[in-house]
Amino acid sequence: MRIGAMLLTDGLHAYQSFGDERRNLRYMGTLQTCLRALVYQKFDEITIALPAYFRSIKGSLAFEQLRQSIQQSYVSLPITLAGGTSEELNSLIVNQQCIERISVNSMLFQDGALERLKRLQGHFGEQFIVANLVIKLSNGIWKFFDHSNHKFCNIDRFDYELLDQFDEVSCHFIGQHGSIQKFEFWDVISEKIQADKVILAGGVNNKKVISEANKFNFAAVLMDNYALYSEHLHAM
Amino acid sequence: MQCKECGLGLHPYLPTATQDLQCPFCQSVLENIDKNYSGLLQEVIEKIKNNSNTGGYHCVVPLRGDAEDYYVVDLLIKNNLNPIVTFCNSYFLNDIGWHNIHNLITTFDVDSRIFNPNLSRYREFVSHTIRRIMDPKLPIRMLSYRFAYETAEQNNIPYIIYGTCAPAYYTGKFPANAQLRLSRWWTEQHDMSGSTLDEIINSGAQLSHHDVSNYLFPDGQVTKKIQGLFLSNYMKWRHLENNLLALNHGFLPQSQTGTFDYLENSGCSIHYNLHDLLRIKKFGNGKGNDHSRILVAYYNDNADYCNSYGDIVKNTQLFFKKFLESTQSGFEWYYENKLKSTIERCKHNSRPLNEAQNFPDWLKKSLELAVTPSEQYILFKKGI
Repeated sequence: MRIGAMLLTDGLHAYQSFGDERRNLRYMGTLQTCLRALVYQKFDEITIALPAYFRSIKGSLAFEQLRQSIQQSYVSLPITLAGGTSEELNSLIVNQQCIERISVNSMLFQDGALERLKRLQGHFGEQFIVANLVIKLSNGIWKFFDHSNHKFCNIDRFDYELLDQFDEVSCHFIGQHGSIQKFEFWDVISEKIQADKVILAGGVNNKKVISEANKFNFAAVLMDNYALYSEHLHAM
Repeated sequence: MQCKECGLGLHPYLPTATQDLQCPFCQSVLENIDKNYSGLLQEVIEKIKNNSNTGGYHCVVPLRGDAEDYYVVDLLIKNNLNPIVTFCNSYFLNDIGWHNIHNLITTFDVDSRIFNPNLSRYREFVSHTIRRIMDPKLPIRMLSYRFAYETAEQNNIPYIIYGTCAPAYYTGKFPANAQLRLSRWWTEQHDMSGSTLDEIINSGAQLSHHDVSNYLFPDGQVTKKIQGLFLSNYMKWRHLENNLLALNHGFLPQSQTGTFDYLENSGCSIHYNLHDLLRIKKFGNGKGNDHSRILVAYYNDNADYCNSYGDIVKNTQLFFKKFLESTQSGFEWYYENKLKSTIERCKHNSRPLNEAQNFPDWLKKSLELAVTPSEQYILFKKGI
């Protein structure tokens, strides 16, 4: 199982997230320093999330800053870009050799997604695009979150055939308030998603969660901010 | 921009990009006040206790010579731990600082390791960091980290214990309960403002590869085995109250003009002088302001204790003459071109520290016992 790390950024700074609002972020330092730290700690991969609220504030400048930060950090690890990204902007970044793949959420809930997916895969390769399922336990029911419409969707109504066409699926848990305690969600969706395609993210911040995830034979886990707090983490 | 909760502005160390976020300092204070720390410290102490090495040392405690060292060592010893203390000579201590270091080692009867860096190379690095990043204390901080890790590695000790996790406590950059640990990222982000030591050194320091090795943060093989923990992440941390404990053990507080906190960094000739001045120049914020924020936020006290900067020029001149061994014209050039405008701004904005101001009663003891150093920048002094 690969062990990666996830960073939330505005292109220049890294933040720790405490909810789905910009004002709930905590500053973590410059993006470059954080990227260097992850490279040094020998993680297998990095996912960089550039939330829509940053892009809408700064326009395409956030992407340009992100590109510069990545280039100046000499990151030698594979990078996945996530966070409400559009095809045009991602293509721009990919063409400039900054990232390896993108992680999409909104597309999963839109019409004609399969055709667009096939087009992107045809152009950039099958591994270029991964699905980003944002998952939350709401009133005792597991739901998927559609970022473009800001709506929760019942997991039974989701198009799993579309999901199956993706190379990997990032299951990103939100509202964990700390670390993932149990893997109950997996009982609910294990028949619908192949375990070896799953990248577990959100609330992954200790050894116990990693070893539990390993038992399920997931493709990867993405450590959250805790990855930066401790340099002994890669020993795990 | 002021926070509605705490009434304070965002800490100047935070970038402007964070100005529309929630006040992180305020959040950090609330987290510290609300969090149930019950058993957390004890859990950490048990973990350290169960990892003792063959030499019997449980942890390394790096010293600076200030009151917090007394609190940390006292707390560890009270919990039946056997720390070994390390101290890197910064060559910045005055007679009070040397007394406090020697007194700690004697009073608590702890084993110690002391490192005196090569003075001429250290001096070169200090003058370089003043020029390039306006931080004369970066070299000693890096030396201190390195020496603590080396001592831990040589003695097979898995923990290094620090007191305050400064970014969480003073600026709220991190949640109070984030349990941060000392790491390379930490030093690059907090000590070097996002640069690497390589970048700083390669920007003109006349240091050889061999000289530099003492300042580098230990590599992954070492940090994998040794964890740097901050006690303030495991308990309700109140540094002003904690530090008062040192007075019971013969610690000498130092009269300051830059802050009302006479306990923190007592005995350091440069801390509230050139070091603080350069911090004001860079961030517009001196250490005295940080202490005032703490008093407002954690003690709900009026912290309008303004500072005067009258002695800074004299002390800085002494630093140039005695420590850097610079010429008078060198000092004058630096003063005219780098410091003058900041000093004038400070003087304009400051009022003398008035003894009649109503300090909290529990803090008064530290003010009453405070002494004035008789000699600054003592390179070495024998102990008790």
